Amino acid sequence: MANNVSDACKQALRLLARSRNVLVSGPPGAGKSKLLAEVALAFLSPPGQQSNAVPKHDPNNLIPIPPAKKVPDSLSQQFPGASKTDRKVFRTVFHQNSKYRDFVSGITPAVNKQAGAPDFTIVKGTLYRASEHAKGASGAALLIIDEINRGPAVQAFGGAIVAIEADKRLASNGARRAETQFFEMLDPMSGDVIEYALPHDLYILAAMNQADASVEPLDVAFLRRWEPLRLEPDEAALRAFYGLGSSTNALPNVPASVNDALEASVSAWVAVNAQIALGRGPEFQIGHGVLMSDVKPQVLGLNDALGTLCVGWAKVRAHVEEVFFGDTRGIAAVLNALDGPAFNPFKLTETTFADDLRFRLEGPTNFEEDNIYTALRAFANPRG
Amino acid sequence: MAEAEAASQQVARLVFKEILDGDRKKFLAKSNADAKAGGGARDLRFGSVDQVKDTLKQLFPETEQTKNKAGNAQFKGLFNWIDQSGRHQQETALLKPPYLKRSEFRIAQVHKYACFQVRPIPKASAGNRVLLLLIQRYDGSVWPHFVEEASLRTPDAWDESVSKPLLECLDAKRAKKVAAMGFIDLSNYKRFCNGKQCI
Repeated sequence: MANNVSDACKQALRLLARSRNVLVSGPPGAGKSKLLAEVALAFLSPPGQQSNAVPKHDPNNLIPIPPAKKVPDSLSQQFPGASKTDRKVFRTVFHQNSKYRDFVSGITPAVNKQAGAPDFTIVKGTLYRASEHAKGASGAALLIIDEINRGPAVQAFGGAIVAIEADKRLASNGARRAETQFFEMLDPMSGDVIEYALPHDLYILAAMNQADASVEPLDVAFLRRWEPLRLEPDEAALRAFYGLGSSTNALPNVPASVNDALEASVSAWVAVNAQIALGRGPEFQIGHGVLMSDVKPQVLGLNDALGTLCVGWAKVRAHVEEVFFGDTRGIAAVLNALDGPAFNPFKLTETTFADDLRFRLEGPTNFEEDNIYTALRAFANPRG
Repeated sequence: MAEAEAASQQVARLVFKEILDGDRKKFLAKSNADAKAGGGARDLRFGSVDQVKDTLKQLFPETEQTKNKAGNAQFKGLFNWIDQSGRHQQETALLKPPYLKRSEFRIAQVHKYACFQVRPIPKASAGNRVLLLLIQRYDGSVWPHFVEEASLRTPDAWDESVSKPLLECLDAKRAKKVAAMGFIDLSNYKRFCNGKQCI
């Protein structure tokens, strides 16, 4: 495993090795998808089987990227299936139409069949395929399930749910143990209903966004079969991306440099998240990733950097409006427009309609280069 | 200081493309008489525009306005290589944007690039395909290299984080006459291959 992997990745690998099933959760933009990709790559390169340093380029060598120097890795005993050499990653994303048939097994109409062949075929679901791979003598499989709460997860797992816990699996040599849990399923090979158990070296890494209001919460019996790994919005990660040091003092009225604009962005994001956590709960915050992209704003001119901030902050604003949908005062509080500074381009106005009090949040339709800094400075301004 | 230098030599990402016999003729400036090689265009083409554009733009970070029909900007960068005397050389490299009707980025007139002429370009054969790698280090510099499949398959010769996905892409299913192409980004763990494969 590469030593340059993130701490979150190392933690996920440790948890997978210990519990087999890990559920990553966190607000949007907190790095869940990046972590899944990072763990997938690390899983394929266990310690002792691969170098653990970033490869270097040697322009004088006919092989320009030779193996990086191997370094002893203290985590070798905490790596999922470290001794297994036939390693594979399987991926799926749950959605409203995810079915047990697609995930475990089931009958589906045969397409492009030859004359005389059966009209139906048995699907080898993602869990089944990953499980069969991990049952090989040197096999280990990582099954990644993104957006696990966006589909009917409990239905998709079906009877397999009783068999996923580490102590309910087969032994590492494939033998049945006293604690091994079996469940019934349609065998894709024979077409018979068989008793099936999950192997020792099948690791399941799932991710979900708890704040997603459009999906149903997972039930407790399902959740307790997973080891949780929570990702939080990370100010240090955003500062590192922007190339900023620790927080500076007051923001100037007008940005003198790109750094002023980026500092305003960090300070405003921290303040907005604090308000969201207060008003709706910490799981509804917005992650640092929403303000990060392939373009490093600190290498741009001031106007281009402000333009880049507009893109990220349009997403933050949309998130706030979604989280506080129907609660205009809540949106105003997050954007510091209740009793915030006079220069805030957002203003909360009150009016009456049919003798009822109505609130309206007035402000720029979109963030633009000429208003984004003032808005961020206002969001970051201390709350009264 | 030495640590910083070593870090700058680390591989950030690479774009790769299989070099078919017709492509090889372009590098050798022998494509005019061979219609199968694309006539006299001598363009090295990169399809799958939507998938590779962001990575290619990191290799060619500057933009220049052009007068092409689509009115798109072209992208400019520097190719680096070590010459026969062991000296570090650089030359400007241009990446042309897709035409209106052809969805491909192009490095035009590849026969004019000195970096491609330093060593003989290997000839592909059955079981020993040839790839062009455009390797970008963490210091941003881009270094082209031609490599052979046999070399990639030699145990412990290459770093596995590079050789494994390259071989997986070469072995992936794709339409006949379509060259393998894609990228490996070690900085963010993204990969792309224009074939059908499992990771």
